[in-house]
Amino acid sequence: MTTGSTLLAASELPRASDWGLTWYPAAGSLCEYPVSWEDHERDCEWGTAMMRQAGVHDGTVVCLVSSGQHAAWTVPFAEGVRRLGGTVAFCDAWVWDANRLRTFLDRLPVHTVVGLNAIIAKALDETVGLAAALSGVAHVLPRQDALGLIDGAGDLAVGCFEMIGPAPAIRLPGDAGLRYDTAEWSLTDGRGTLAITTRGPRAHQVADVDLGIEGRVGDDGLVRFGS
Amino acid sequence: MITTDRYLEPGIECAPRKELLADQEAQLLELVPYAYERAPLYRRVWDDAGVTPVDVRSIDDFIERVPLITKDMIREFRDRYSDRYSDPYGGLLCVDPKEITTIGSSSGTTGDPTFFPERWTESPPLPVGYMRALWEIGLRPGDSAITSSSTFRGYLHDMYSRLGVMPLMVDSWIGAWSNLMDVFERHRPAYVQIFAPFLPELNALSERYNLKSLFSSLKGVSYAGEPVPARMAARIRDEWDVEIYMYTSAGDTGVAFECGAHDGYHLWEDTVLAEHLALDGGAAAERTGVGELVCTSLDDLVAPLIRYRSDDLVRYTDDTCACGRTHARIWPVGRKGDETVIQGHSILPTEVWQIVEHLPETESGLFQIVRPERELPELRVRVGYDPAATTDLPGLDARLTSEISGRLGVPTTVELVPERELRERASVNKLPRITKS
Repeated sequence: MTTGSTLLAASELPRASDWGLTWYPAAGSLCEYPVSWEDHERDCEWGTAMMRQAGVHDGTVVCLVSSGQHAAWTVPFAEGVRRLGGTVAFCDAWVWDANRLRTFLDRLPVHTVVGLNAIIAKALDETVGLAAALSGVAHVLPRQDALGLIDGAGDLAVGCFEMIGPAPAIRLPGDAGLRYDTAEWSLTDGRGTLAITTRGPRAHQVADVDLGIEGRVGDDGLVRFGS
Repeated sequence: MITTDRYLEPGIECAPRKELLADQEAQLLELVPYAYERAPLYRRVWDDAGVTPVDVRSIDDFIERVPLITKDMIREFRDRYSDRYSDPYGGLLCVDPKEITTIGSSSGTTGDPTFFPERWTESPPLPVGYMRALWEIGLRPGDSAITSSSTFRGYLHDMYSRLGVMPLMVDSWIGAWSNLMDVFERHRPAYVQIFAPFLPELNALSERYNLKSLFSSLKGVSYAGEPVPARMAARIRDEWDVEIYMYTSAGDTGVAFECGAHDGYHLWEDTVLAEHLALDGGAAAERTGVGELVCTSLDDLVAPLIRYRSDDLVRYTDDTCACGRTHARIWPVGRKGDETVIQGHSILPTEVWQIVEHLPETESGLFQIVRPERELPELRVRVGYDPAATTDLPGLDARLTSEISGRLGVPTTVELVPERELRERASVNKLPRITKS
C-alpha cells in the first residue's frame, strides 16, 4: 500500500520543527503565531474534551466548515472527533460550498456542525431553508457572524465556535458564554476589548495583547462578545 | 542521470514494470472478492453482467469481464436504493460507517458532490499521495510551504510536516495574495499551490512587487484544475523564474503529478490500475491517441472505485519517463461532454482558450462557453476582461468576435464581463468552462 510505504519512507526524515506557523488578527494587524508539536497536542486534548462534552462518540458525524489557514483553531476539534471514534466531513467556508454542506446534511446523520458562517448560512437559507437543512442536527456551533440567522431559524440547539486571537473558543448549547482553554490562555477585558496573555508553556508567548474584539469576560470565566 | 535522492521511494517509483504489474495483479485478485462481498453497487452491477469473483484470475480477466461504472451510476444507486442516511456512498462502502474517520468529497461541478470516505489512524490517505511529488519538486526537511486554503478534501498540512517541511497556514486564496507578499519576504517558502482564479491577481501584483525576487525561494509551484494560459505560463516561468508542476486527479483515486521532465503526469500504479479506453467504451484506445482514463483504486479498502470511468480524456504511455520512473503517465486533454457542436463543427474549450488568452485585455484566459444544449446554431462565449487594460470595450468585443469566428469557422457572439465578476463564478479551483446560462 502506498500510504504505508510512503509513511514508512517519511518516518526516516526529521519532522518539521513546529506543527505549523499561522497568523491571527490583533487590533488591526496580523500577528505571527507559531504552534509547537507540544502546543498542538495539548490543544487536541482540549478539543477532544470539548467534543466529548458536545456528545461526540463512536460513530458520530461532525461537519466542519473551515479554511486551511484556520487549521490551528479547527484541527484540535477534528482530531478530537477522530480520537472519540467519530467521523469528520469537511466543507470549505466559501459560498459555493453551501451545496456541499447541504449534501452532507441531506445524506449523513450529522450530529454537530462546527464553523457554519454567515455566507453559507445565508445561502442555505435562500435555497432549502436553514431550519430544514439543519433539522436533525443535535448541535450547531456556528461562527459569531451566523448566529443571528441561525437563532431565527427555529428550534435548534445552538452554540458558537470562534477564534479569539490565537485561542479557539466554543460555546455549547446551554452555556452562558464561550469557553477557552484557561490552562493555555488568559483573556481580560479591561479596555472594553479582549486582550490575551499566554499561560501555558507555548511557543507563542504574549502578554496583554489587545485583540480589538469587543467583549467581556464574566466572573464565570466565560467570554461574551459585544460591549 | 538518475539519482536516488531524487525519489522518496526509489524502489517503488522506479520498479520494473513486470514487478509493478505483478503487484497490481496480486492486489486486484484480493480486491475483487473483497468488494463483491461488501459493496452493494458492485454486487448488483457484476451480477447483472454475470460476473463473479471466481471469473477473475488475472488482470486480463478483470479488464475483459468486470463492468465499467460511472459517477452517474454511483449517484443513481445512492438515490434509488437508499433510504435517507442508509447508503450515502452510492453502494461503494465496504466497511461499517462507524469505522470512517474522515469524509472528503468531489468538487461537485457536475452535480451534488460524491463522498470519499477514509479510514486512517496515522495520516489521511490523500496528503500521503502528494508526498512523492513534493519530494520530486525538491521539498526537503527545513523548508517551508504555504498550505492550501481549501479543505473540502480534508486538511493537507500533514504532507508537509511528514517531509520535515514547516506548514505556513495563511490565507492563500483569491484576494489574499497581497498579504502573502510579506510571508514570501519573511519566510521564504519553497512551495505553494496556485490555481487559475489567482492569475489575474498575480498579474496585478507584478506591477507593485518584484515577484522574481519574492518568488526566488520557490522550488516549484503546483497548478491544477485546467491548463495554465500560455502567456501566463511564460510569465511565471520566464519572468518570475518559477517552475510549474501540473497535476490532476487520477480518476478520483488520488493525484497524478508532473515530474521535472514535464512530460506527462505520473500515475502511481502501486495504488491505481489505469486503463486507457477508446471513447466509444470497451476496447483499449490507440496507444498514442486520446482515450478515457478508467481507474481502479488498489489501496482503498473503504470505498474502492473499480473500473471507474473518470470522464477525463487523456493521452497515455507506460514508457519509462526521462526521470527514471516506470509508472504510467497521462496527458489530460479535456473532459468528456465538453464538446460543443456549432452547425456541425466540433468546438472544444481549449480551442477558444488559445484565442482568448492571445489578446492583452483577456490574457488571463477567463471565459465560459454558454451552452444550453450541446448542438447550437451559434457559439456564445462569455469572456472576462481586465478593466485596467481595456479602453475600448466595443472594439475588444469586435476583435474577439472576429478572431473566434474567423479561426474556428463558426458564427460567434461574445459577452464581455469584468474578470472579477467571472472569477466569482469559480468553484473550488476552476471556472466551469461550459455553462448552461
